[in-house]
Amino acid sequence: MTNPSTVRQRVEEAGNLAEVLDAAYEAFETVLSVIDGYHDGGGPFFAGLLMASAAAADGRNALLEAPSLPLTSQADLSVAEPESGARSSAGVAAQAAGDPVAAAATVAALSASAASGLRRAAAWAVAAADRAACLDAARYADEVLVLTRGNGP
Amino acid sequence: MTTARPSFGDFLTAARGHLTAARAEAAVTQAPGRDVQELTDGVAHLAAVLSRYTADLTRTTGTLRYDESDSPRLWDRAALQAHDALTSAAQLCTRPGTDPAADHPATSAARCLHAAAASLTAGRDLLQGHFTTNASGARLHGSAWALAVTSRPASRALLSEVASLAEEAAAVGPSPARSVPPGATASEALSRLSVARYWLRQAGVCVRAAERSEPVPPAGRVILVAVPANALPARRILEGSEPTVAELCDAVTATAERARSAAWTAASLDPHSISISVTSWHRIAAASTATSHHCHLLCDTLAGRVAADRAGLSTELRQAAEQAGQARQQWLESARKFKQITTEVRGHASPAALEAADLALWTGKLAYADPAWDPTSGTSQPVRSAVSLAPRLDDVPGVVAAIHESSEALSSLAAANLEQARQLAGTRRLLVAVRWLPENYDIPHPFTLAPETHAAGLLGHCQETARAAALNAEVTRTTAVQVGSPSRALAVAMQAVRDRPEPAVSATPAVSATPAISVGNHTVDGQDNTGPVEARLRTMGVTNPRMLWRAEAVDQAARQVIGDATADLVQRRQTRSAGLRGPEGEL
Repeated sequence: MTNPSTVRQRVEEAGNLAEVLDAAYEAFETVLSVIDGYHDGGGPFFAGLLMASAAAADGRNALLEAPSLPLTSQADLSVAEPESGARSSAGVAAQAAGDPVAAAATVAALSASAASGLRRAAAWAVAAADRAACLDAARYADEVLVLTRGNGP
Repeated sequence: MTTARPSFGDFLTAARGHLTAARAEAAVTQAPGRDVQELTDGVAHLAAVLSRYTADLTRTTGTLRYDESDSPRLWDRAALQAHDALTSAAQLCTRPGTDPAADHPATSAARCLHAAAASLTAGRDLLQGHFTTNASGARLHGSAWALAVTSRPASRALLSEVASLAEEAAAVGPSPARSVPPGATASEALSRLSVARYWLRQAGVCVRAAERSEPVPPAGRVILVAVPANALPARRILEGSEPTVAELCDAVTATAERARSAAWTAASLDPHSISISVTSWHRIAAASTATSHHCHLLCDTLAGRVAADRAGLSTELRQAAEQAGQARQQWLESARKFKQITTEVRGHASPAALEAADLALWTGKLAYADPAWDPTSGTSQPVRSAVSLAPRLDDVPGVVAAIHESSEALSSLAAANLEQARQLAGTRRLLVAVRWLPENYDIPHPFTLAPETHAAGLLGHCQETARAAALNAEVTRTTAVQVGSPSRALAVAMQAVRDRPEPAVSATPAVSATPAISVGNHTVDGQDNTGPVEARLRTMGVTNPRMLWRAEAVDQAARQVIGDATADLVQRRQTRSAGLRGPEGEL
């Protein structure tokens, strides 16, 4: 799994439409991976994370409609990650799998970044299809956020 | 089923009440000549309505493909004979050029007969509301209840009820002392009434003979009286006050019914419909995973509640909980698979997806202690206590009904997902994003046709989910019947649907939830009776009832054309042969 922090950073630092689309796409993929690692049947956020997964897949698929989305991922694979510890990819995955609250927090943070970045990118988009894809995907990111930020007691 | 909607039983009871009143009123008639005429018109009206029921039954049985030696022929024959008898009764009673239904009689007994006929007309409308017709006029099942209505037990029960009503109507007549005909018109009416009453009794005789050989299964009447009007209950909205457990059970039941209806529609969609989308599949799978989990919790809690008083029921509920857990796991696997595939239409959540989400919400509110629970509730949620869920043992059936209704809905939703996935796979409309494929795929478009392994994997998971959901429904069905829950009639009806022998029926959403059983039935029956078009569709894995009905109609039309052509050819040969033999033969 890609380190969620790195993905968030990519979304926030993306300087043009293609970069935001690509980074947001990766953010949705990461959300799906984090939720996939959460197997606990019935703990906190069980229903919320399940439904967030469907919304994240919709967000990712919405981005596939954007003409400016690169056909292959532009992620900079040379980005250095911590080799171990909680901030590494493996560490985040393990933490998410074992702790649904951490998983939900990770998902919520990623979706918030994606929603914000996509709305920013929508303003840059010239093509209507790009703009629509950005706004649709941002709406799905909002849905993921609502489902995972937790409003219960 | 706690939703207060009219059921067929209501109209049946009303009709019987009117007939009982008619018999009583007939004994106190005041104006013999007029009374006889009006009674005759009333009987004509009632017989005409009853003959419409038998017409429906013979239309159903006529399309069934039974072997000559098979016992249902007995009931088919009884239906045809009863239909003939009732038609005769109606025709003999009706004065030429008049409409008996349009009369406004002064005689009380006649008014009762018309009222009975009106009740039965409304009852028939209720039953027919579960059927639709396509553009070519073919009769289609419009809901899962349609399958139950035309199941063998319910069909027999309906014919038996019609016969019984005919017998009761035959008993309505003017007493000999009061039926002195004052003139030729009344005399003629009395004569027509006597003959009509004979035919009404004959309708009963035909059916009773069949009943003696093969009694109506008890399930038939249970199903028949429970058939509800085919109208959706209103969507439940959470209001300000904290809902009671009974209100939550009611909301779950109503939502489950809406979900079943939406699933039925979804399974019947044309594969090119824009209402089929991966978004709906995924959302249904996610919500149904949650609902299965809630059913698991509810069964577990109830099992603990009844452990001390009813150990057997407690064991059954534990099994149901386990089955719900297995269904949950399959739904989860399906949800994961839906992430790896897409469709031409995306971003559209179908009514079935919305109802599935509602069902997850309401079952969650019932399963968890916090009435404000919803999927966004984050931190750990305590499960509702057994005492809160069912304070008295008498409360258990109501909760079992909610679990059972939910399980039936999940089974229908799983079958609908499977059906749609099959349809799209069959028409090569399952897609993947090029981004999801290995880098050696050099395709300059964002989407491409899903590799066969993807499609096969998806179908396999959908199949497994449908199977697990169907097993879960079956287990809860048994429990619902055992505890006498409000959903008992639904359980009996769905079991009758599942047990139907007809291949065309066993492919419908309600039954395709048990794919292995359905497939087995198809193969056996398909060898002898299925036409080439229908057989081809079945080979392709098509289970959409609408498609299968169309295929069957095409096969029947083809058979008819071949039959007509053959007859024409034979006739021409005979004519030519006769022509040749004529002058030349004589030569």
